[in-house]
Amino acid sequence: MSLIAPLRILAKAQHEGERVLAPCSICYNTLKRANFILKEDEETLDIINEHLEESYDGNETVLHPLEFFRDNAQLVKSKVKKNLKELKVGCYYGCLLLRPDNEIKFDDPEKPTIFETFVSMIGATPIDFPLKVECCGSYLVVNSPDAAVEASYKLLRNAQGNGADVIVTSCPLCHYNLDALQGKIKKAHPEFKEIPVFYFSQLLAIALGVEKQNLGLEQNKVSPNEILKEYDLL
Amino acid sequence: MKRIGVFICHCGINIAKTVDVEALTEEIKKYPGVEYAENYKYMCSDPGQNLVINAIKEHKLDAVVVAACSPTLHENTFRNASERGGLNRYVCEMANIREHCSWVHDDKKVATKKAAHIIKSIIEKVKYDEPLEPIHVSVTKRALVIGGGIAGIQAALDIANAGVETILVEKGPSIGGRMAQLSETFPTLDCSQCILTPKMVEVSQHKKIKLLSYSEIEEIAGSVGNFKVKIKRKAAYVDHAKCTGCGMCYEKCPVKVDSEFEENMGKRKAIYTPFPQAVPNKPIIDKEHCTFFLKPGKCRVCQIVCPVQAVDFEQQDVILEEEVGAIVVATGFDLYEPERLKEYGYGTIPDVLTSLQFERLLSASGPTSGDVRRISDGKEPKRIVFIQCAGSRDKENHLEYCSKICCMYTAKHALLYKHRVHDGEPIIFYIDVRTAGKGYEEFYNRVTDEGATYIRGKVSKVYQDNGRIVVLGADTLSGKQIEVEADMVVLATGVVPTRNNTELVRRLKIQCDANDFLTEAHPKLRPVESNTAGIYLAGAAQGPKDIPEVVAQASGAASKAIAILTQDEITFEPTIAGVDEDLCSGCSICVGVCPYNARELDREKMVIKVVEALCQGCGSCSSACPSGAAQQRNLIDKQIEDMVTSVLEEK
Repeated sequence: MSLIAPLRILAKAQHEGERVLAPCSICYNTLKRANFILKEDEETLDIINEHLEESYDGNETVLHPLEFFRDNAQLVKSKVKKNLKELKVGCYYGCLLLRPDNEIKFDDPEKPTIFETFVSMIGATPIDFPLKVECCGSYLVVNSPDAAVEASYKLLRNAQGNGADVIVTSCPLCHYNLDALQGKIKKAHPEFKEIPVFYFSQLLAIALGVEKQNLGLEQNKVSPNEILKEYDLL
Repeated sequence: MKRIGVFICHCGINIAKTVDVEALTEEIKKYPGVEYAENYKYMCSDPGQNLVINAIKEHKLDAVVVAACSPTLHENTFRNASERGGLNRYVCEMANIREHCSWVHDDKKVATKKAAHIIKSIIEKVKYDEPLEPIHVSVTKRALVIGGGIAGIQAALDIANAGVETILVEKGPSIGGRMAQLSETFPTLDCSQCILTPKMVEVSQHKKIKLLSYSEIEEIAGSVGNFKVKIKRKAAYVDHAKCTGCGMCYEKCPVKVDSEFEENMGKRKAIYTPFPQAVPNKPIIDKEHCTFFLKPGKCRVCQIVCPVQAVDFEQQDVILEEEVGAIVVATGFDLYEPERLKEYGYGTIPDVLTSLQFERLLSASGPTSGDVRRISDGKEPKRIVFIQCAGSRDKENHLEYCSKICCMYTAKHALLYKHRVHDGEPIIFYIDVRTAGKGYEEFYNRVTDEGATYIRGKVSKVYQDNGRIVVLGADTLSGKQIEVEADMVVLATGVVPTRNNTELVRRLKIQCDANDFLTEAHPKLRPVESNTAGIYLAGAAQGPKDIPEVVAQASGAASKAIAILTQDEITFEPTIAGVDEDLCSGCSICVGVCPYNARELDREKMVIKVVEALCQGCGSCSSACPSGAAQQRNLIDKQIEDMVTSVLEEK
């Protein structure tokens, strides 16, 4: 059952091209795993195809934009207009981009580097921190918010401890937890200093010189304006 | 037509209760080829055997069928009796009407009918049975032991003490193996070196042992009783006959290299003995690092200082050819590569160590003389986190099996750490604590009593943050996440068979399991024999095990070897596969299917020849042979066809 929804998307996508780009970690994970399972299991593919309006041929490649950028580094570099060198970016992967490793095969699940490669590519300074692949608390934010607050707090503190000015992530849920929970984190841990969290596309857009009104920065709960101004990026 | 006698046993009531032996005898008497048939209450008793012997003589029988129990029980008894009656023992066969019939049926009519079928099929077999002679092979009364760890040392000493000449081959510069690296041994805390080195010295001084250190097996040919072995003595660049072991050379050698013996935590020189108690205590030159070899002709310090001119840069590898009758393989173990456990940071965090590195830290002869100190800054660690099952019991990512020794050595590590650092805090993460062994549970209790903290759960991550080591894990008993800071982390790295062993295993023509441990002939009843006759297994090469087990297995392997090596000749059953050279095309299909490497292509005649000492008569070749050239003696296709036909006949 869990395969039908991703397959319907892949079936539609096969008209558009051979590659599907999924900018959200959870979407990427779901599509890629469904694709992986079906490439291994023709029988299940046939059964599911019976329930779809149009059948999926199993030939799509699912890509995350970070993979696309990595493979087209020169293109990205040639478009960068702003100097982000001073910006120290903590690269946060979370769980779903990397795991399960044997199905996702995205990067080394314990010591990934693809995010750092991207951050370097757009001219900023990547910051590695030990907890970059640990969980942010995910859906626990719904029914056990304290657990998510604690998990996010640990990550943010760890990134700050290693010198990050800002955090970048590729998952909307991670982004929500790390960004929107900072108020609650501050209440639980008064010494905590807020830190802006970007979706990776925002950071890319800043580097490419996209105008401020199109960056969606007003959506971020912790405002990055101050630090962006400091480094003359707005 | 053969004159066949059939002897039906009642086995008390074991057979007679369910099989109508009188009616059966009458029926069998009528079967074509049967000259004589009778029944008796206990055929295996003396009077019963005499019945057989007398009938052979009286009725001039050419073949005998005894319808009784399983051949594993009494085939030998009745073949001996047949011999006493003047027949060849291989024309006497058992028809099993007990285990295969009376014991498993209760309807007398049906059972009697089935017993008749069984007997008739054996009568068909015996019609084509040929008189055979046992195969005799003379024995070279010398043994080869491969591997000079505690397993090889024990096996070599046991064989040599039985008076049999033994060659002990060790690939490293000294014997002693892993045990020489250990600090103290569980559960008694004997000093490992103290109990090992006397055995090492005994090996070197034993008149019956020829110790070939720094040597490797190049080639093995032949079979049980008569193996021909080529051994490469690697060039040590030191003439060990001249060398007195004074140590001047390694004292003066200017090249420092990470010491393998110290698990890269200490240094050795380019000319070195691995440790002070090495046997033989004579140095070798490590060509990879020696200045003379890297910059040809330079340095020569060792040569200059040697008082007896033993350093010889011209020395070459030498190939020795030896003949032996039996081989003990004791090639030992390595640790699972800790770098593969990326989440534990080995190799990037200096104070994350393997269990063997920690052994060296604890060892009085180790790089810190037994003081527990951090590698990074020499400080005394106040809290050490031990992670058990580092690589073991992880089917998805690492080794599926339990490495068996880690629970106990980790408990020992915790205790020895407490003994060295009284206010030290050992914390042990575990999946289960497995302490099956004499005195082991008691030892574990002692360790917990002395203050080791055991946390049931796995560690998910070890990382360094601002100079501190942080360990994240789970306590599955309380269901809580755990975060502890540690000054040192010790990984109880799993046990894997010695790396780069595949070539040797191939040369020995023995088998490995899925994890590359050597495979024993039977997991329960033949645990020290390989599938190849005359080759025996000892130590952790066959599976993870601790020292007492290794020593016991080595003595077991030695006694198996002694059993062969103290005979003038060994005898094999002749009921093995042969080759009909007229039919054989030399296609070699049988060579591939033979599990015992008993078949090889004779390239001159282009037919297969059988190494009789190796063939176990399993029949794989017979069933694979497309031309019928491979036939089991006394179980040829014709016999099998006739047996099946007789069983299927409804009479």
